[in-house]
Amino acid sequence: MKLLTLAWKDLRRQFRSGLLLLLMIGVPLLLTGLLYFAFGSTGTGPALTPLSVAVIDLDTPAALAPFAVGTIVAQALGSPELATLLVPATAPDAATARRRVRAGDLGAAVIVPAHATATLLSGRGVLTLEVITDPARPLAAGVLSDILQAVADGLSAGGVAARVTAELATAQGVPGAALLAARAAATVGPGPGIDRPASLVITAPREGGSSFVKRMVAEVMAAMMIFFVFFSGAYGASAVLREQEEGTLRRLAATPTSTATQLGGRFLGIAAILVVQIASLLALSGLVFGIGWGRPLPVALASAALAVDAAGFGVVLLAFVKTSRQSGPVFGVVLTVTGMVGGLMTATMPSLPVAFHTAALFTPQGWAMDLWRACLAGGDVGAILPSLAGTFVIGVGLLAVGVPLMRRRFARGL
Amino acid sequence: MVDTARERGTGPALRAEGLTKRYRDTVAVDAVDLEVQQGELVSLLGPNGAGKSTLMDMIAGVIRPDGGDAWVLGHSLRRAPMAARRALGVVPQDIALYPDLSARENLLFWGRMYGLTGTLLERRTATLLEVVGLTERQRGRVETFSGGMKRRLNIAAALLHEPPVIMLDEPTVGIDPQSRRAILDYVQRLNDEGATVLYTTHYMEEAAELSDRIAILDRGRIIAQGTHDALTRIVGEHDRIELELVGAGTPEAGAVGEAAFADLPGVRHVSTQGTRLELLATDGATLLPGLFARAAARGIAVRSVTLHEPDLESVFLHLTGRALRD
Repeated sequence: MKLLTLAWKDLRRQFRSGLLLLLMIGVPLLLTGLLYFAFGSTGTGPALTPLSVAVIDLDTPAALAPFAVGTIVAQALGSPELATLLVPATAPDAATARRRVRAGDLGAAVIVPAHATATLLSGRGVLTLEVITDPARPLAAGVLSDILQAVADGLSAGGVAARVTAELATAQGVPGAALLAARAAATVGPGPGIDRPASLVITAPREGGSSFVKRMVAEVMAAMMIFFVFFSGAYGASAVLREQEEGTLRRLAATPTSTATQLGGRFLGIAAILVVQIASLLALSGLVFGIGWGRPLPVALASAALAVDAAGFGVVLLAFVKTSRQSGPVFGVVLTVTGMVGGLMTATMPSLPVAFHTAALFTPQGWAMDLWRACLAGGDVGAILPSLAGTFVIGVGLLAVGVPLMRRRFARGL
Repeated sequence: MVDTARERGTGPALRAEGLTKRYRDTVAVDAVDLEVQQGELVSLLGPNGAGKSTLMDMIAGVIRPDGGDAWVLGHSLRRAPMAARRALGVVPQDIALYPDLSARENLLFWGRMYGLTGTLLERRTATLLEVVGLTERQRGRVETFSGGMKRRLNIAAALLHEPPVIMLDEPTVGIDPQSRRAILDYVQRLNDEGATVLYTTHYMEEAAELSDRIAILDRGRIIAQGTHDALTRIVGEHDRIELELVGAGTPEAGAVGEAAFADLPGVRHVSTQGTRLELLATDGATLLPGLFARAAARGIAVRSVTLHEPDLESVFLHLTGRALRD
């Protein structure tokens, strides 16, 4: 009973402050919202300003080749399904394309190298499509890469099918069979379709948006949630300092309430604050940004692990501050630095060096970010288990270090 | 003896034996023995820093003594701390309330911390809000209250469980005379209704007005205790003369003043307190003409003179050579 009274008191005090509520729930949503609405969303899901893309086709396929890589790429990028994302453009050569992309006249360019079709059909060597984008627009590069990857997958499958069929026909001594079989294998659907391998399928993202953008918004939201939940954990732990300054800690010590109950009530209070915050952020971000956080059980476990982690980190940080006034700057600096190292500020940056990820695993936030990425990917409990276990172990470890320090410092008044 | 006296009506309500607290090289409370009988109102009187709050904190169980023990209605603080705390109502010196909770929410919280629940808690909360005159402001946040209102609520929070023994640590510090009067009346009323009260103050008027007995604490030790009359008898028929000097206030001026009056016939003790000189004299009224003559002879300008009958200030001055207000 006293345990609940203590926890309820902390919960009520925390949520009674408008400023704290704003920091705990409003700011993470606002920061994610800025990104979300930067892509022109009006409530139907994230959308991008269409990117102008030129295809520079240097390929010279043989006359009887079953398809031409350059044509397929150009057709794919000009597909009506992608009209909301990409606008076909032209450039006379690669040098001009590079210059125009640098100048911002052109969103991106794809260079199809000479002998691209022959390379693909030969089954030997590597066919590389060069993509030129403005480094200042990593999002554009991401979207284009997503689409080209789908094209490349289709081309590879088509090439393999044509080659295998031709080899089989030739081996059985069918005159002219190689070419015919290859054509038959690579041709599909209504209309001429001669240039389109059977396995090449380009699926436009639903709701007029990009899966890349959705994933990005979800990851930014996860990062913001982790950052601000850690902040709340630290602030919740520092409530003991405020109570010490208010004199209520001493008064509490004069009541017939055991230290264990006082300590338990305090942690229950912090846990309740964090759980309410996480639940609110999950629900509101799902509602506002359409984020699907994953399966219920993994999400529930990840929420619990995040709460333990944040509370543990807060309790340890408490050992380094003497007054509640100190706690603001100290928590701000430490949580920002560890959040950055933990990858919360670079959550959506593609192709970061491995060292970044390794460094992130030295922070509790890094483990938490991994865990929520796994949840967002729709993984079941088995899939999230490594990062879940890591996050829990770190949280429990931090509590094991922090709680005795806290208990010793505040003696009876806990 | 006291360990077995666990029912009201037998043995002292509060007993401290050899209570000691040290902070590094400083002895804040030095082997204090104190006994408060049931229904008694005892004041702990002493200047700031005398050790009053430390002594109270040890009895309340807030800080652990380095030596000795205390018993509340026979419950040892060391062996049965929960039972001892249940019997105690502690009003801390500083306001100890949650500023962002309302008056009512604060009382409900502290009541629950003493194990009260349900309608009993609701009823006592309502009663105490009425008693301290905060019924109309019960939903207001404490941070919006005046100093006097906070003080009254601070006291109410300690009384929800109707403790048989109440300790109040300087509850009237820093408040307006009206609130002070209300608090003193309420303390007196609690005592009249049967509560045992241990009250600390550095205002001798409060101690004199309220107390059945007074214990004078200085530098961590109880240097005298007894009724007001018994204590003032310590200084005999000595009056206290307070001289306000022009241009005094420096150690040199103080020394000059002390030297000027120390050898006057009838003067037992002279001490300097800032711009004042305090003299203990056997017959103050007779001494005054000689005192003025001496001041004139030595070129000492006197701004004012006050003659006090023997009081607790005189007792403290007599026992320590220092003023209570220091």
